[in-house]
Amino acid sequence: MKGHRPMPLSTSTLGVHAFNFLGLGYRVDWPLSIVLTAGALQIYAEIFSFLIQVKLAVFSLTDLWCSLKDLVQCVNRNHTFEHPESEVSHFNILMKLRHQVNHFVCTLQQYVVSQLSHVSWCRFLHSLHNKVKDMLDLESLHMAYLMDSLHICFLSDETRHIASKFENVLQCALDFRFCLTGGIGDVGINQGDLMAKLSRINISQVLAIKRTFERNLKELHVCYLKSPKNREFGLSPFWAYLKYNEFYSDDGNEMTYYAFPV
Amino acid sequence: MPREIITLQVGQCGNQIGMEFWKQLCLEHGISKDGILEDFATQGGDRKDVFFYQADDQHYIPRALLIDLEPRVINGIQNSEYRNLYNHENIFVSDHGGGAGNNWASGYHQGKGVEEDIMDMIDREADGSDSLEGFVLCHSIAGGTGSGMGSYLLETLNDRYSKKLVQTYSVFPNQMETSDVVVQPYNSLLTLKRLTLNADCVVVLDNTALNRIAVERLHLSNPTFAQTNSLVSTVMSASTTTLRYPGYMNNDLVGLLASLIPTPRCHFLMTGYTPLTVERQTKNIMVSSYARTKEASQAKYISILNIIQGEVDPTQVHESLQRIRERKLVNFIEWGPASIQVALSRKSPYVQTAHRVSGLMLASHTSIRHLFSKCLSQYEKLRKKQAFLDNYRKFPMFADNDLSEFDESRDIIESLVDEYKACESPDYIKWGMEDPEHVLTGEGNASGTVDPKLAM
Repeated sequence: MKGHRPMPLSTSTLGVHAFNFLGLGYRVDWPLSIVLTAGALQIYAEIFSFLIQVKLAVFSLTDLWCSLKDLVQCVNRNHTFEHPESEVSHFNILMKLRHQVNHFVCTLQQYVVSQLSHVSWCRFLHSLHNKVKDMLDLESLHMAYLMDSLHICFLSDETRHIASKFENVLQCALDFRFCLTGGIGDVGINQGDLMAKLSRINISQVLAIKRTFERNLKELHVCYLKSPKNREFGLSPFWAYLKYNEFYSDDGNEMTYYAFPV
Repeated sequence: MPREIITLQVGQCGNQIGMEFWKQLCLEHGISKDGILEDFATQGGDRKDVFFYQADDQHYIPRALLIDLEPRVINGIQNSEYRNLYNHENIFVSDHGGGAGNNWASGYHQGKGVEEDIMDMIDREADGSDSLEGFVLCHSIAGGTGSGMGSYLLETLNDRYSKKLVQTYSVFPNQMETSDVVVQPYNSLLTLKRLTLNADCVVVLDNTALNRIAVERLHLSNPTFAQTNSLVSTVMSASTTTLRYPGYMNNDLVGLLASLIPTPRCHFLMTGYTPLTVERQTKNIMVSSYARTKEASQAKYISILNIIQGEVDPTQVHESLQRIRERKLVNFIEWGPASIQVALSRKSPYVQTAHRVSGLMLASHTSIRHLFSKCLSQYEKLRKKQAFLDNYRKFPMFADNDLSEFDESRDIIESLVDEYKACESPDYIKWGMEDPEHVLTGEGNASGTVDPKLAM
């Protein structure tokens, strides 16, 4: 994968599918094509573009982190400078929301990586040693591995309804780019600049992201409650990754937030 | 495209731990003491160019600047087996060689005097990188050069390279025994101000803890500097493994920091390291919190990243994590979501260790505030007596008995302690969300236990 910061992100709308033009494909000759069938390659390509989408979301959240950090440094160094409370609170809302979305996306990344490149891969290798007698076994085991992988990334038929909610959250992460309007790139330490930057937080955009994020999280939570527990892959283990502390607790059937009423 | 990192080692301590760090990196990447790639180092997959640049196909040179105001340690390096490793143009020793006399003000003032020379060196290194990610500063906060000149460099880097990250590995003085540097509390306080305001991330290396580890765990009755320094270099190299052996996650510094540091002011990280047995790994790492006194038991983790190196069965890691979750073994903040992130990283094929698996924990933990409080109280004691202030008044910053720099630094550290304390409460930053209407009309209220200014 060739994804590295800094990304040449344009100021126009950027969707999670913006990088779909980038595909993963191989031309596979016989006899490899007996195992790496066209169908199998298609699955690899699907997973590849999902991973790109997650990566894109992480980049966007990281960029925002840098901007917020610069802003804080400006404020700290001008600590005699009084600024209106409303702007401080806008800043705080944005910072906390970023943390929440970041936590979600990082958890997703962590879950996908460990399941995909550690757990299911190790199992595949293990079964290669023990279960393969001929080429056909190999093909079917490989296909089973890919099915698991699709399931891990919420791309299987069974998980399609969940996939769209994940996509919405990833889109939230990308939309953060519109929360700081104007040239955040030109950090000056002058007070006027700083003032301008703080007031440049587009709070209605922030609140819109917050609503979308919370709605999708709620819907995912409902899906999670309905989903079979003790499954190896899927929503249930992902959700377990998500809640180490009591921030997302599920009292009854309604997910509640601590100190962050909707 | 690598994301290069330039290391600045300043002062006696900074150069000593820096040298250990480079020794370790050379071993891990199969680079000889002269910077030549060893014949056996044929396995790819590592990224040497983050920390080294190539003079030619086989020759690697650290992206490091060795800076000191007295020649002893740097001479030592230049007379050691590693003398040919470094770029000699990157070594700076002041002409008079008289050091900073354990005086922060002297280090800071001398830093100002040689700013141009040093910035030329830094600019040259920066020009030599394709996509510079940032700087790492190694120093101690107690003496004169690492603390004072280090402080000056932090401020200058912030101005000159405002878009680059600045991370520090800062050695905090041993507070259990009386120091040979009586003015250490002054130096520490003044440096802490810069670490708070001018660094993006500070990895705290607490000499008290390092000594305790050496005595209690490693059973060294009288640990030498070399021994504690090697502990430091282990931590430093382990915390950079995900950058040097990149995978899908955590492969650049900014990504690491952005998830470890949710609120920019709380950017001080603690570390824990364990060469551990496979059976007990993750749990083992977690035991390193300072839950000793009652007050300390209120302390909470803001974030945790575990970097696990070596042959480890990922399902075992999962089981350990699950156990931690179910038994709530880790006390996390309540005001936001939190989790333990795990990075399984490759291990150098060229270094044989006694343990198959090792783990490093990087964590943001609110108990760090006790360390700052301790610095503050030691400062207050000294300041009350007006002791040793004359040494500082000799320098422009404190001329005409202007001691406001001390007061300002104290205020900043006090508010830092308050911020960490507030982090322990579920109300940390109310975010003005009690009444969203208010926010929309621009009258948000940033109540809560924190002063709105601090809340940022």
